[in-house]
Amino acid sequence: MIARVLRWCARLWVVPVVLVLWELATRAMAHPFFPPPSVIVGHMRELWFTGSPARLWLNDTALGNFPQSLGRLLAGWVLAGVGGVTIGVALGRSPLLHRFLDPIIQFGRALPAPALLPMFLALFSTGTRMQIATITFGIVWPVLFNAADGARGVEPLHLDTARVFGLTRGQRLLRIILPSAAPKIFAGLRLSLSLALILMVIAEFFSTEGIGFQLRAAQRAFDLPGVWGAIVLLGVLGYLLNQGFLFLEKRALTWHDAKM
Amino acid sequence: MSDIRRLSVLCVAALLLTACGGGGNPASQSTGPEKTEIRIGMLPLPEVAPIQLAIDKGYFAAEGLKVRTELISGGAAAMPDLVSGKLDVLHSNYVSALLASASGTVKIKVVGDAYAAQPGNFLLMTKKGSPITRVADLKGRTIGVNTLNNISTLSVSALLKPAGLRPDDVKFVERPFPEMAGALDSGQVDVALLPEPFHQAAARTLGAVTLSDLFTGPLADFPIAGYLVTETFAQQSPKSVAAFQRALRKATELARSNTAEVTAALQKYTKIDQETAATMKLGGFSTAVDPARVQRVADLMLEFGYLKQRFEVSSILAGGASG
Repeated sequence: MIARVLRWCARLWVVPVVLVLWELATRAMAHPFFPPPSVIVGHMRELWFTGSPARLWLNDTALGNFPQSLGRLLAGWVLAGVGGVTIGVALGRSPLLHRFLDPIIQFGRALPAPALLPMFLALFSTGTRMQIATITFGIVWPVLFNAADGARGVEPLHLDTARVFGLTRGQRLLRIILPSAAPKIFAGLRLSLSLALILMVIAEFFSTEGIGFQLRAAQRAFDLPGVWGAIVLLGVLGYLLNQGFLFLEKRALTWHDAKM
Repeated sequence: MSDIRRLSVLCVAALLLTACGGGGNPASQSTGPEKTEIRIGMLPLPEVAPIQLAIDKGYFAAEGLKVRTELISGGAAAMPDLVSGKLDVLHSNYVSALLASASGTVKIKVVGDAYAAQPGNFLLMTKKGSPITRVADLKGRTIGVNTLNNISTLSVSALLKPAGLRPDDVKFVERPFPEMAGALDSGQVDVALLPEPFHQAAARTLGAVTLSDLFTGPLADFPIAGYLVTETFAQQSPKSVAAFQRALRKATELARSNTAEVTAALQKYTKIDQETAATMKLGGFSTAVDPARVQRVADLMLEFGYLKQRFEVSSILAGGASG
């Protein structure tokens, strides 16, 4: 117990040490492109956290940008998850389908989503649809390949047993294939979540609101603490998303392990 | 900081070495430019035609300068390249230059003027058949500009004011000028800010309609852009700067007096065809920075919140720029 508390503290004290070092280093450098963290935090509060406590101190600017960004990120991620798992499992279970679709999928995977932005812009115009399309296209691949890999690697014995017991195709999919592929699917989903954050920022550079837009506007206004504020915000958001995902994954896979 | 310091040390060392190497002729050493190879970042717009003219006519060469140009997408986007020394001279709009300077991001000097707006140089355009027919209709609309928080957004803000609108009433998105007509056509933007020659092309190929001239009324004769160097560069290479200024001024005078020379120069660094070039309204080329005019930009920036306090532009004007 004491050891665990100590470990917890050890993990926490690194944070202030890093912050102090960062503060000292940037103050020593006095370079306008690298403002000290104290300046960045002060500026972040000014920019986004001057609201009332009832709204978690978020002001109108924050509420006009954060939920939109997060919503698009999650929408793109969910779409990529559903699409990736569906296509991936189908590919993993059907060698014929794999043979036909693999060249197309390899081609699609090789295209960098940021390079396709002008095309998405032409197709969907500026706005949420274009951003979700960019995110989804860019992050579907890790889910798809992992799901295919997971579905391909299901124990043949399990499937044979299921067949003997007269399980329908649907039942086999839900009870055998998906649970067995779940660890791989979750690995793909976790990878795509961090990619989603990157693509969200890139897509929002071409938008009129969102965290990415604020980052670009701050760059153009030479508001460097503002640029760093957006970067810190993105880092925190990425950390929180990952922690949230790990929490969900643990629950989902524990349930799966217990049932197996 | 250490990187920049190291870089400047390297630059000085390189200069010393070249100076030592050319030791045979002490006279040319004391009069020639400190840095003979100059890289200029510029937008693919007609206003930088004098740079191309000075290269073609050998004005830079006559001053002992070897000039290379690089096309950029906006003054603010290319500012880091100026700071890092990748570019020696940057063609930038005054708003981005003043913002960079006032925020303390980079200490710059304006070494020359590029262009002052003439009627028809910069237009706000809509798609054919657009419901937007007056400036007042812009409420809630998306306007395409090449760079956020630059002279485009500032001048649009100034244009909105008499129509009773605030800058917050419209949305600005970034698109490079060459992509702007496409963005307008596909509905990515409701209104596009288009300089020459892009507005002629948009009108001819897409039937784009002019909503308003951008620099009219209180913005008539507005200074658009100038040429910047870092303060360090200005201090370390004053003769290079002076040589650049002389060649630029000579080329600008040629550009002002001879339109045919300008249209020929345009073919070299833009994709402007002869037909479009013939319909362009050229003539805003400016040989000297007018401090009072640039101060107007800074004052307008203060009015629209781009600057927190009044900025004295004289502090960033290099000797010889306003001459």
